[in-house]
Amino acid sequence: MSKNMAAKRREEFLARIRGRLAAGDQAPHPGRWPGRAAIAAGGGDPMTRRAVLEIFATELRAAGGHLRHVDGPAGLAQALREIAKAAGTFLILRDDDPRWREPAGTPWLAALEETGLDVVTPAAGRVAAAQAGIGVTWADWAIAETGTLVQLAGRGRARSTSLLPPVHVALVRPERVLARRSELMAVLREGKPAARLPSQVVLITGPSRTGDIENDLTIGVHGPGEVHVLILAPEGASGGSRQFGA
Amino acid sequence: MSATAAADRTNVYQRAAQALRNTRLGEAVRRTTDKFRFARHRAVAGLDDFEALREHARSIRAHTISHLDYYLAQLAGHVEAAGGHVFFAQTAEDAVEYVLEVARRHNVRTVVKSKSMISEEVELNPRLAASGIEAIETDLGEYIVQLGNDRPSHLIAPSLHKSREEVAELFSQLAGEKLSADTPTLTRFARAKLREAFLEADMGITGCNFAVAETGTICLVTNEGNGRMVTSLPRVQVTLMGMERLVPTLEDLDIMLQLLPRSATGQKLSVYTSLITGPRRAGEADGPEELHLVIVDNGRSKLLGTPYQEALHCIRCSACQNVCPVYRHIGGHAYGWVYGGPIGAVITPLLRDVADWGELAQASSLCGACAEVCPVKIPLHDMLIGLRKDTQAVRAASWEERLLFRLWTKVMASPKGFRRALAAARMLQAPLVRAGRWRWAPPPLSQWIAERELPAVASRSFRDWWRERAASSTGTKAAGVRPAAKAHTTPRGGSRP
Ligand code: SF4
Repeated sequence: MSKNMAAKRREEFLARIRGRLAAGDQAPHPGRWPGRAAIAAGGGDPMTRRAVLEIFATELRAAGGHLRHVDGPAGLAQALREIAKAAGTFLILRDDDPRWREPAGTPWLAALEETGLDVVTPAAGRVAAAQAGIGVTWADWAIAETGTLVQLAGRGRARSTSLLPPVHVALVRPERVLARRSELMAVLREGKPAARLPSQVVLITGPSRTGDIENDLTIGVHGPGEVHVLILAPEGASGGSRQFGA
Repeated sequence: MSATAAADRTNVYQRAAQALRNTRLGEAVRRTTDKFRFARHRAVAGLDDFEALREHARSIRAHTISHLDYYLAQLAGHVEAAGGHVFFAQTAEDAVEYVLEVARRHNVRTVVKSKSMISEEVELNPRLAASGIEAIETDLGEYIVQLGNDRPSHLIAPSLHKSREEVAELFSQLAGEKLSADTPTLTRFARAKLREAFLEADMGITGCNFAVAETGTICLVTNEGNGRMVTSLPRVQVTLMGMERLVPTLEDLDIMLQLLPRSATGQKLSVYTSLITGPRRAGEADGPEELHLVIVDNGRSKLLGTPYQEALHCIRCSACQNVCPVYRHIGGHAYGWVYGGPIGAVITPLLRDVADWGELAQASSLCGACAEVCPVKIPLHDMLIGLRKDTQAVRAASWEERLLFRLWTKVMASPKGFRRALAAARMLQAPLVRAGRWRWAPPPLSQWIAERELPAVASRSFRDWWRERAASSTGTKAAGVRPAAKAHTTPRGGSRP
C-alpha cells in the first residue's frame, strides 16, 4: 500500500470516530491517582529500605519465587553451584550485560567463572541458549508490592535469557528494589525525555504457570519453572548503573 | 476452525438447552468460575481503596474513549517513531488481508500466536490456513481448543469445557502414542511441542491487553510466558488490537494493571507483563526485526456517541462472566459468537447486528452482579435492558409486521370491524387449526407461531355466548365453554439468534 493510501485510510478511520464522538460528552482525565493502592499492609510511608526488602521477599515467595541474600562473589558462586546441582545442569546462559564489565561487576563475573559450570552468552546462538539449564540476568529493578523483577532489553541483554532456560536466576542490588510499580512507571518516563522506552520491559512475577488443564495449577509451562532472586550484599552496590536501556 | 459462529444457525435458547443437558460442562464451568471469583474476592479485599481505584479507572476509560481519535493518532505516531508499522483496519476483512500481505512478503510458513480474542473475532486462523500458513495457538488452553477444532469458551480459561481425558486424547493423537492424563505429563508434552514451534516460527501474532499512547507501547499480560516467546523469537511480530484498548499514559497503565489481574484471576500481578516499544534495536540479540500494529474497528465505532459507548471501556477481565448466574450454567459457547457472559451479551449484538443477535440480552437474570464486579464499572445490566427494548423495536420494524399492526389497529378500532374480523378469521383458520391451535400460517405469522402458541379464534365469540347466557337466564348451561380467546399468546421471547 502506498504511503498516500495509508495516510488516507488512517484519516478516514479517525474521522469516522471523531464524527461519532462529536455528539457525546468529553470526559475529563481524572489526573494522578492519589491513593496508595495495593501496597502490602504494614509498609509505612515512606518505607525504610529494610521494610521494602521484606515486603519484596514476602511477595516473591507468595508468587512462588525463591530469594536469598548473597554475601560477596564467593557467596554467588556457592549459590549458583547449589541451584545448578538441584536442577541437574552444567550449562549457564548469561546475558552479555555491560554491568559484568563495570569495576563493581567484574568480581561477580569472576565468581560465575569460578563455579566450574559452562557459561555461554546469547552470542553462542539460539540453539546453545535453548539448551542452557539456567539463565542468569541482572535485574534492572525489582518491585516490592508484587514481588516482581524488571528486565529491560538492550545491547547484550537478550529477551531469551530469562525465558528459555527452565531456571532463571536474577541478580538484584538492594537499592534497585522499588516499593511500588508506580515508581517504576515514573522512572521509565523520566529515563528518556522523549518517553522512548527500551524495546522491551518485562515484569516477571514468579515462575511460569497455567491452570488450563482442569484448573490444575502447573508451573513452568513455557517460561522458567524456577525463579531465584539473589540479593547482592550492599558492599558491591556502589558502582551500580542508574541507567537503563544502554 | 470448523465450528465458526457464522455457521451456527441455532438460537440462544437451543444452545442454552443443549449446554444445560451437559452436566459435565456445567460442573466444569462452575468449578472454574468459582475459583476465579473467590480469588478475585480475596484479592480485592486486600485493597483498602479498591472502590476509589475502580472509580479512577472508570474515569480514565471514559476520558480515553471520549478522546479516542486523539489518542489513537498519538499512539500510531509513537509506534512509528519507535520503528514499528501501524495499520488501521476498518473491517475484519481489512485486518485479515493486511496480516496475509505481511506474511506473504516475508514468506511466512509458520505462525505462533498468543491469545487474541480479536483474531477469533476476525476469523484469522482459517484464512491463514487457506493461504497455506500454519498458525499454532500457544496459550495452553487455546492450543487445546485449536487441536479440538473448537472455540474458546471463557476469556481467561478458554478450554475450561475440556476434561483432562479429552486433552489426553488430543495430545495422544499428536504424539502418536498413548499419553497418561495427569497434568504434568500433558503440560510437559505441550511445552516440548510448542517450544519447537516457537523456535521455528517466522511470525508471531499477538493480541493486546493495552497500548500506551504516550510511548507507543504494547502491553501483553500472560501467565505462561507464551506471549513473551511470540514477541521474542520470530522475525516478525504482528499485534492485533481492538481500537478501544489503549490508555493515555504509563501511569494510567499502572492503574489498569492494579485492576486487571485481580479482577481476572485474583493475582496481584500476572506472571509476565511485557511492555513492547517498537521492534528490536541495534545490538540486541533477539526480538522481532519488524513489528506491525493492526488497529481494528470491526463495528466498534458504531457504539460511539450512543448509550452503549461505555461497553468500549471493557478491559476483558472476565469478572462479569465468573459471577453471572446464566453464564455459570450455560458456559461460553451458548452465546454463539466469540464473547460470552454479560459483556458478550452486550457487545455481540452491538458489534454485529441487533436484529439477529439482540436475543442474547435475554440471557441474563438482570441481577446486576456483573456491574457490581466490573473493574471499570460498566452498567452491564442497564445495557441489557436497553438492548431488550432495542431488539423489540428493530424486530417490529419489518414492513409486513408494520402493515399488519396498522391494519389491526384500524379494524379493531370499531366494534363492527372487530366482529367482521372475527368472523373472517373463523372462516379462514378452519383448515389451519388442530386442537384449538394454529399449526401452520403464512409469513409473517409463521415466524410468530414458530416460537409461540397461537390459539385459534373460538367458534363462538364471548359476546354471543354472553347474549345467549343472558337470554336463557340459567348460568350453568354455558358452563365449560371458554370465552373467546382473541389471539392470546404465550410469549417465550422471540426467535433468533
Ligand atoms: S465488562 Fe467489566 S467485568 Fe466484564 S470483562 Fe469487561 S471489564 Fe471485565
